[in-house]
Amino acid sequence: MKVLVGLSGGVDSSVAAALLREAGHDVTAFTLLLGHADPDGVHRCCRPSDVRDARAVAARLGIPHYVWDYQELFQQKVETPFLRGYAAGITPNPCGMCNRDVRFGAVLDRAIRLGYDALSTGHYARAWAGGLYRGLDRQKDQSYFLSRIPASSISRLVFPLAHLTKPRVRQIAADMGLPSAEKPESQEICFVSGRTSDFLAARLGETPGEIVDAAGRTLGRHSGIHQFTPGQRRGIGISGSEPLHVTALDAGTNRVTVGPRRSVFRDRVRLVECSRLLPPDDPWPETFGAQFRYRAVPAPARIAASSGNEMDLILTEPAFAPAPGQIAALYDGDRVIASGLIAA
Amino acid sequence: MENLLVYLDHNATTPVAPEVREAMAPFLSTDWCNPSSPYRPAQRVRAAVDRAREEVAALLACDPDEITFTSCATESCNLAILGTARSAGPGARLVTVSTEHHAVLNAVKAAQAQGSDVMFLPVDRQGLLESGAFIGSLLPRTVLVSVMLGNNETGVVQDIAAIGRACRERGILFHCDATASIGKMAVRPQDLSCDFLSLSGHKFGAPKGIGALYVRADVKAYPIMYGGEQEAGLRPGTENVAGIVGLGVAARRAKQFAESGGPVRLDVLRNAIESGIRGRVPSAEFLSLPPDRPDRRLCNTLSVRVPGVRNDELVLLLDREGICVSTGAACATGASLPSHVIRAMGYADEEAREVIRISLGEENSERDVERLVDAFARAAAALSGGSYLRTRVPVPVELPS
Repeated sequence: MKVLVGLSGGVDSSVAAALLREAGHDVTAFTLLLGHADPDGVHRCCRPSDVRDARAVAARLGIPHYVWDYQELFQQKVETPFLRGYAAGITPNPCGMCNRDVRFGAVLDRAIRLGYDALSTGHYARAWAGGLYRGLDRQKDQSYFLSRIPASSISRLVFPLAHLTKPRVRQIAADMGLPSAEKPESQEICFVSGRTSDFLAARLGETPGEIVDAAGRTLGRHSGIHQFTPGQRRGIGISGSEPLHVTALDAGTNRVTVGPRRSVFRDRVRLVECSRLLPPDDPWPETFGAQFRYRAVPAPARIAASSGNEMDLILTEPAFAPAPGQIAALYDGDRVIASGLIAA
Repeated sequence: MENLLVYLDHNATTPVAPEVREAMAPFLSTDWCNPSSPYRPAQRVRAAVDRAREEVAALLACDPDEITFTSCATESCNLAILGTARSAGPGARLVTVSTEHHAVLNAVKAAQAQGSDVMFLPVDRQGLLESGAFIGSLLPRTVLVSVMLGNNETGVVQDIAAIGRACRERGILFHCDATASIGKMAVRPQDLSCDFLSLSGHKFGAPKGIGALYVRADVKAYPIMYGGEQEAGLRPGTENVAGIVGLGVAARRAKQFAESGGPVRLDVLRNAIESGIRGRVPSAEFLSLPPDRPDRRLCNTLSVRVPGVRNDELVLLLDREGICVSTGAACATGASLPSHVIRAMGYADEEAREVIRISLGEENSERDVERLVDAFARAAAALSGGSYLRTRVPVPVELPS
């Protein structure tokens, strides 16, 4: 099989490429340039050292390696919507957008045009018989971020780390003598260096407004709603009889509403821009798990109503602060059956 | 057959010629003395440097004293431009063209940041400098004009002799970047009325890391680095002897190549590629000037775009077949900004991202041309199916109610 594999320079993608190579596939590697040079010329992400690391791995494996510049598309499909979303009081999920429109969108289109049978990455997830499933390492499972990929694309994807745990991946990298075996984890948003709140403050500026309680009483002031997300406790700066959490953000009035922890749980959630990953012929389960955050425990849910690509969920156990703009991934066991965005 | 490399990117770099390698070898083993030292083993080294200077001078039909060895053409361009700008002081005017190599453009921009008054002249859709705009730009206070001979991306050759004459008549210094042209056409600074001329060894069979700057005998050039008295103080630093020796041999070879009909042979191969692609890929557009303007195009360079086909994708498919061509000037970062040269000719960004550069060298054969044309046609057909401009939009799938 002719496989195109994304190499980030990290250990996961290196092992993915090595496993494909070992299995005898015709492997070609690529590294994406996604971040923009700052005015001072310093790349915030996709640093030259990452590209160098990826090149070293490709050279070690004896596979061709290309660097592809997707900066423009990344800005258009990820960075700009990310900033606009925060300015509008929602909490966007940039990895979900990138996976759908860039990594497994434009790059998959390119792979197909170039005659490759499959596109592969070092994600911890399983793509099997056209379905998307959780990776076996539950600590690392990334199916949540991949759930926005259209169903028609899943059959083209290969995730060689599907059945591996992170320690095992590191072991394989060490055994194979891959240069990236010891490389530390990258966790943060790739195009943000430092804290996301600082990045947003720098890019969106100060837009001071009021912090209010559920009854609309002013409790304090904030420097911009982009500094907050539902459920957040830190940075509110108001002491009450019990800890306060953000319950809602309103871009129209520029207000942050706060309340006690019990007030952020929701038992009804509306989803927009839904796409179904379960094939049309497969029966839709009566109840399923709805996951609203990366690594959150899915809340048992059922559909109250749906029309077009929107649906209303009823949760039998209330979920902690579903944040508008974040991904809602719906699971039947390990299988992703649909995905949507949490409505404002 | 599949694994035989067809290298068609000689404007990026060229293989080191075996005679060059051989001539260099002693200076990387036995003859390692400093050429400036007084004793006999060093005298052999100095003699080799002198001989190389004569060979480069013979290539350019100039005096050996007019040759300064540098590390590359980028350094030569910087030396000519920044040295002149700094000596002229703030407010002096520098004129160049928007299709120049970054070695010139960014040196001029650096001079601008240091107080020079700079002007970047436009070109027409064919990449030619418009002579009216050029003459109009030669205002008082203009100290230096820099225009390249053959363009490394498109192969377009400017009318350097006319430009040089206009500068000379007005007492303006003229720098010509001849990096892409050496070995492809006669390059004689005297005929071109140049005061400075830059070249780079690795574009014609010498290794990377050696270049030269021609400085006309009665022109005073100013250094941009300071140190010892090597290269008459214009380019201090202990000489790269092996590189200089290699450059000398490469210059001799380039001269022989030009005198023995080499450029004509490359021209025939290039025209065969052009007509071959025209025949198999009717939508292809050629950015190099047409064959009826032979004096205005480098014999080894072809610039072509296939509308709707991204150049980086076409390059990858050709690479899979062992054929090396380029998306434009080689870039170290991997970032694929649309070529400033193609954009300056009036093409849109997306069009600039479709341009492929094919550049021949002396070792290419008719067989290489056949393989390229065939692979090019197949790759273009494979990639023409869907537009790369389309991005995947998820289709909403009916949800359960």
